Amino acid sequence: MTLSLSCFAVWLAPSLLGQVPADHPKPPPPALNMELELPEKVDTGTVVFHEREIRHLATFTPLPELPRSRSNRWADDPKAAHFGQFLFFDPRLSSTGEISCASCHDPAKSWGDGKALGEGIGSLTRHTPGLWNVAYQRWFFWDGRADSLWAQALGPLEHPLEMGQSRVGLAHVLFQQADLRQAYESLFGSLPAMDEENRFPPHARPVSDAPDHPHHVAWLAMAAEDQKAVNRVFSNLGKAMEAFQRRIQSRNAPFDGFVAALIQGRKEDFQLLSPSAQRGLKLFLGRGQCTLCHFGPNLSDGEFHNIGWTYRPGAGGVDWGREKALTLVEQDPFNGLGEYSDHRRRRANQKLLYLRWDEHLVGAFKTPSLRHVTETAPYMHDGRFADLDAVLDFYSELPGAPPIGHREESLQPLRLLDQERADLKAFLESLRGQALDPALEKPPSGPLPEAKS
Amino acid sequence: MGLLLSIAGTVACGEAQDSQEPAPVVSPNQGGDPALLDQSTTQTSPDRRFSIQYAPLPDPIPLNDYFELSLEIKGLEGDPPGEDWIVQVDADMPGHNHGMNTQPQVFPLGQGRYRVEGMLFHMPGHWQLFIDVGEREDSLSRTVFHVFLEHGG
Repeated sequence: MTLSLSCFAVWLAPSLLGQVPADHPKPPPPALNMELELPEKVDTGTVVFHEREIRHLATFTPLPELPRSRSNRWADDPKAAHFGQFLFFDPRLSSTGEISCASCHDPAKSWGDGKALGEGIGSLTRHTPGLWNVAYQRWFFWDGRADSLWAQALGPLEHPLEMGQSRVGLAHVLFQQADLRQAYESLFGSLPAMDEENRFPPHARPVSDAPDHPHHVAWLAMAAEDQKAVNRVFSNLGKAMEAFQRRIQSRNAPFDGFVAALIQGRKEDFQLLSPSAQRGLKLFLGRGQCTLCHFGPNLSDGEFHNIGWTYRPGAGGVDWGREKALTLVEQDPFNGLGEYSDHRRRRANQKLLYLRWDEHLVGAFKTPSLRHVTETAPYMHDGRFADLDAVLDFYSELPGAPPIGHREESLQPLRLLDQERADLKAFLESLRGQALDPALEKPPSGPLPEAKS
Repeated sequence: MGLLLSIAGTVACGEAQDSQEPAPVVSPNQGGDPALLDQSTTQTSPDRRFSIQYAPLPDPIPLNDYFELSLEIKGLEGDPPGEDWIVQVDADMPGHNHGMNTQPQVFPLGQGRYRVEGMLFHMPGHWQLFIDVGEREDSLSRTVFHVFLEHGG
């Protein structure tokens, strides 16, 4: 049996092996097509993997070429990525001056916060997701209310319980802070004349659900062209942050090496997975039915499912998930069809064209990636499970029924044995990739790359 | 379909587990053996008026990615559907109690030909593709096609 695979091994080393240098290379060349002979079955000494399973696993790894971010023309610009990294760690972007993106997306905590529910300026109602391979997602936020990583980045900046800023306030910060202003203007051109007080109030932003909010009133009082100028600045901040976050890539986990060994018949590398982890992988692919939703390079379909957790006391009550987010993403002025997108053609934004309002999306949330999953507790969109044992308890028993919507009916209680639980956990541990270049896990010394002598 | 193998129970010292060819990953309550599914791409409508054929683009249908359909609807004893007829396309996963997360759009090309955009099968397994044809909303005739989607298929 042959398999047509995209092979990137030739191109990958070393530029994208988690160590992206400042002089990031040009966009990668087209993938090489290789016909791979797959064995009928491989006996690792612990588990027999059949051709069907190996063919399946070959779609999980290696991590493919970065998907294009058509709405962001700076997505692969090294200077924008450098600026975005600086911004990501800069607490001056918050209204308190104390909170940065990295406060909740901490690189030391697998780009999450280790808490059940997010905590910015205030307490949130959803769990902070990690950011490994975030650029490979189709939708952003747990409910997919943003269609690009740059549009997502704008949400927390203005959320009153996260960073508490306003887009006009942010433009003032950029204008007043000399280092930020220099970096911004060298990338995106001149900032608006933010010192003209009659045009730009200290704070203003649209607050559609609170028309009496002073930020909203101030926003409506601005001239339309000034609103657009500020929106342009705001969107550029998000685009720089996306350029940085595209570099948070998980590669070379033991699982990846093991699958390569299966495909290539390299017996000496079968030990990359312990016997327990190999049994866990077999269970994951087979009886566990995990790959109905957890498949592909991120071990996630990137789509939305109701698995029954739409209500958690103390976490904001009933959460409608995807069903409510559809309108938000369709109406988002920063979506891929909006005027701040760098590529508004219909074909480039097809996911916005075929949105579906459907009862089955009530209480549905995005399937999370399983890369580095053992480092990202607590689990689920509302952080309800403290550890993987609790998650496996849930899939083993499927207790309760969702208060709204209906649970994905393909789920069946797995009735896991103790050994099977241990095996699944051992397999999930094997999804922890190599460390990133430490230079990506801290703010650079300045918002612009140092000039080369 | 062998989906309820007791994996831990098959492990013996020094012996690799599970030498049986695994079944494809499908949910246990889908019913039916995928090998027995009629996956033909041409069907006669239940009202016996039309022969309906679809062709996916790309072919085969990708898992969890957008694809299009080309439809050709021929009249068995007369003309293809008129320009004012309704042609709708949707899909469902039996046993999952849900279908697609996308809303496909049908574009008539004339002469009984249509292009369908916005199709996306986000899960592996058995999908039913519905093509509804009729003169009025309340008189649609539904033709059901079966598609079985596998990982890496």
